[in-house]
Amino acid sequence: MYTFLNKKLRYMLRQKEDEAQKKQPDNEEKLITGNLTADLELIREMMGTSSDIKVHEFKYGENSSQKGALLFIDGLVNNDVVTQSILKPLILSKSLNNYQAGEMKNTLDIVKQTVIYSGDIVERHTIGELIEGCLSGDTVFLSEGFDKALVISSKGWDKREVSEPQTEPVVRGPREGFTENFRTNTALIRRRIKSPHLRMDHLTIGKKTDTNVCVVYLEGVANPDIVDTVKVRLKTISTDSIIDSGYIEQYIEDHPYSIFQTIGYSEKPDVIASRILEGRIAVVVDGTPFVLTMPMLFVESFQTAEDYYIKPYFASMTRLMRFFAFFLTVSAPAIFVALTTYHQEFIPTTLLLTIAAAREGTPFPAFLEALIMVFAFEILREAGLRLPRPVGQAISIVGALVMGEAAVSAGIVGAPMVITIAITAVAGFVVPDQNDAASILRLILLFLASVLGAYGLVLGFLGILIHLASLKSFGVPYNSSLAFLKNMQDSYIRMPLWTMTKRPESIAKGDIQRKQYNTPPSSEIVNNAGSMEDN
Amino acid sequence: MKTQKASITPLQFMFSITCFLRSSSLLSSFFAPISKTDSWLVVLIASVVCLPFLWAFIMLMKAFPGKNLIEINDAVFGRIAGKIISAIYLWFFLTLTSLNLRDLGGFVGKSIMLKTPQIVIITVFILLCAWAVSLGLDIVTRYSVVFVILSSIILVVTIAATSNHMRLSNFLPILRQPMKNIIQSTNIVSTIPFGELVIFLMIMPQVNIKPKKLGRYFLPGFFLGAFLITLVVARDIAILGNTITIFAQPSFETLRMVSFFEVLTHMEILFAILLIILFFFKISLLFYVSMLAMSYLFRLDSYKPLILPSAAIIVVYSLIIFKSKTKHLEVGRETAPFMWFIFEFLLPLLTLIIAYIRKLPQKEKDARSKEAASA
Repeated sequence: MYTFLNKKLRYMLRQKEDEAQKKQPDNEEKLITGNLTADLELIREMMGTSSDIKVHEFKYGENSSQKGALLFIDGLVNNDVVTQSILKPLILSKSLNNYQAGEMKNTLDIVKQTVIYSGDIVERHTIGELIEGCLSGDTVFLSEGFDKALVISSKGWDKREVSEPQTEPVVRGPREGFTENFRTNTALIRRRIKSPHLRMDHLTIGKKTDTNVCVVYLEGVANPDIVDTVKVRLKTISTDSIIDSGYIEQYIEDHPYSIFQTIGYSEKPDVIASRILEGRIAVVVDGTPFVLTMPMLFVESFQTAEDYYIKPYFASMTRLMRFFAFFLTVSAPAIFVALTTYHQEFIPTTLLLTIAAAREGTPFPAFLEALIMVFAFEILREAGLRLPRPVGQAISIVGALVMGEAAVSAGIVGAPMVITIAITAVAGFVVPDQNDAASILRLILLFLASVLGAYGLVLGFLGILIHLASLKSFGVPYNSSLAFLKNMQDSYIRMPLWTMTKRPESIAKGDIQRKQYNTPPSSEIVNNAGSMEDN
Repeated sequence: MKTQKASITPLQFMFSITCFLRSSSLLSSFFAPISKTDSWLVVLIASVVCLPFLWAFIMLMKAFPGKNLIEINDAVFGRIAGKIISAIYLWFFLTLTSLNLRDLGGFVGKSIMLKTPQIVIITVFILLCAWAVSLGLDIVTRYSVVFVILSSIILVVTIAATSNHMRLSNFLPILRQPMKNIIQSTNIVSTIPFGELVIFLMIMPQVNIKPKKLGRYFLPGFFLGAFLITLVVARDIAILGNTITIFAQPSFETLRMVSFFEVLTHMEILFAILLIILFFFKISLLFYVSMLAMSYLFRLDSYKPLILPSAAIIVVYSLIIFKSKTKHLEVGRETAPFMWFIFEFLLPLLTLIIAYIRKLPQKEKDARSKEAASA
């Protein structure tokens, strides 16, 4: 009943807002009049007197009889293109001279077809469209006496080079990373998947920012229902700004209240390409090197690109180790507190003596001690992250010394607790994707363990498992492969590549077969190869 | 009805059966004192004796695909008699839930949380189960495979680690106990873990499986579960011998013997954790089945509003059901096997016979084919 009323109320409020918005006068819908001075005046009025907007008025055509204007934003356009490919041919072109005054109606078409050197010219009719083009780095060409204008592509702003990503370093594997530039990013994906079925559907989101967003997927491999879901959710985003792909993530995720993230991201084109090949859908957002992928499975956080580039044995071992590290980082302080407070009999006797000796003289109970240390660690981590790099190192040294040495020798915390927190901290960085969730879970489990001991700890873990089981990412169960239901070749361990004949069944649909047979690599030797050795 | 929307895979179904049985293996204190060192044999005998009854379950599932036990009762016994029988079943399910909850509370209170009041242990636990139940059957059974694998790994490791304490002579002489004890023990085993599989009649419509292939998943699940129980009981007998009769939790005592490199002793905490996990599975499944039965009995759209009130009832019920542990054991040995026998074997068999006499499944088929023809 309450939810019903709430929904009704929200709906009514929203209707009012919508009406209010409709009433606002809309300058953008105005058509181009053909009177050059009037049009330019209108554009100036709408865009204000920003210093980076350049309006260049000039004369061209036969005997320089025709008035025209170029409109662009300095810094967004490539100046070479504007002067060499647009302005110069316009003023010098001879093809315009051959037409009589009576044929002037076609001038704009002639300019479009024979004068300007550009592969991307569009005709526009409203002022709003001109401004939009201008703002995204195109050059607008207006001409006296025409109720339309040409928008010529001339984008060319300073951008970061493709470089090695900061967040996902690899020992072996490609070192390219995405950049902030939208087209560079889509090109990096396109370069890896040269299939004609790779689709890139374009959207713009954000009323003020007008951010370019691209939905990338492999047609015939990605589940069309999920593709449609992604598109519908993207289209229903009604916000005025998209600054980073994190905005999009929070607007379209399935479980906004969960602490686990149900949408994956990566900064590496090879990772994104392999996920697209598994049937996932990538969302490239302009202005950020982080590309989103969905649906996400929980195991994805434990997979790294390198797992697939090295032999499966070590890859499987590291993956199991990552699971263990996640377990440790979530529960090590809680286990320590539960054991020392409730279940001393389960600690090996010699260790128990050591712990008791170390804890002798420390003022706080184990729970408080753990809490202090966990918080201290989080503060140090945050400080190390935010401070300028040279200072950051100093802070971590001071932190390590104060936390490690001084706190123990001053008798504020016991040495075993420092070790526990150190393990917790280091293990947390093994699974960076789930680090945020792990920090919160650690506190919850710590609290449960301090209240109910091992029993609380087990219940806490069961609760996490239930919560994980209830999560879905775009209709796909979040932990299906953890629960031994599907996609087992690539979850706890990674099987050899040649055994992975199928794409993940819960994600891909249609062309599900990666390769036909589950056969090991052939060990055939061509005769010549053998004889080479004899020589 | 909305409550039947969720569906689980055949594999989940199969391992749910195994996991359900495996979680009962920890209750060997009911029959171990009676059949003593022959208990492992008793488990095997019981699993064979149960087969006709399991066959009855499977026949019922096959005869009424898409219907759960409450609907089958309605269809076979008519509306009024069916409702009465369903109500008794509901009591049975609720009692099973409470009994298991009490077992858990008793165990946790005696093994790892010595000073915590029982009611806290039980309440926290049932709240967790209630959360799982409110999310649906899929969530309740999601981890059955993981739990079975986890418990099997622990089982194998403990067998390996305690092999130096095992005395094969503990098994000898085989069948030393009087016939009467063996039969009584078989009765207990076949009713307390094995016959409780009757609850799967309730969730059958939500299993994504063709009726023909039912046996292929039901029976392996059952045999795997029975095999695991046998292993557990045999391990405990091999280590404890005749002393198995004096312990409330033989497995707990067995795991006390485990020590790795003479440093990691007291591995019984592993057993305690495993037991809590398995109990979580069993109690939430039983709880789910009770809630489903209740919502069908009262023709509700959803069982969700029932969860918390029922949880409160179950907590109180499990606290007051027996005065003491000895009373609990006595009932578990002497009364329950006969009462449960009615719900687990007689009633399903009766349902099957009446359905057969009234030619009910055929009627259903006719009705369906008529519907199909008219459509």
